[in-house]
Amino acid sequence: MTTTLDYALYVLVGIGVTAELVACVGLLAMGRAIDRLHYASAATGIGPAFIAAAVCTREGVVSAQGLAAILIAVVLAVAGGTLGLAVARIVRLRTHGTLEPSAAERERGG
Amino acid sequence: MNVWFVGATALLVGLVPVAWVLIRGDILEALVALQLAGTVVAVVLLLIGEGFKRNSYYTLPLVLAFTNFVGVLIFVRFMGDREL
Repeated sequence: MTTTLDYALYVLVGIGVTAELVACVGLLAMGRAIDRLHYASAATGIGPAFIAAAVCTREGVVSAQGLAAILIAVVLAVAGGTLGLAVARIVRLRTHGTLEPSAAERERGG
Repeated sequence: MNVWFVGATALLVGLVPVAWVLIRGDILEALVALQLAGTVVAVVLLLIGEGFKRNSYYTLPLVLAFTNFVGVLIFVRFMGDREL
């Protein structure tokens, strides 16, 4: 028999997996590396958080599985932000040769 | 087959477009795809661990989250110096 808890798990896992799948398809759909990076970074935040919430819903927050899932989601989020910044810098360096904004970018406030 | 395994299977299918970019894209696009692949595989391992209800299986995604971070940073470091 399906309980309310099961439905909650379906929703949380569904949202988490869908977020990751959208990031995967978005990576393929975008044309440039810097545009693809937006999807790669988004995948580190939303998806793992919902999956960790699903694990905590099933196992409880104060449990080995719940705490491990939260830790994994936090590590992915923090590492994702840091990696996004590092990769964006290297993309900028290799496509423009410098991190400084161009005259046109300064003109429009970039 | 429970919801965790269904989610893990769906994410494994989702790795196909990522692999396509990894293989067909230029070096910068491949780096971005590598970052996303690490994240997705970590989530897949997390789902599998919960699906099997094995406590020890949670070690793998945790280690992957750290090693993916270090691995991509190493690629970034060397790509800054060299014309690959």
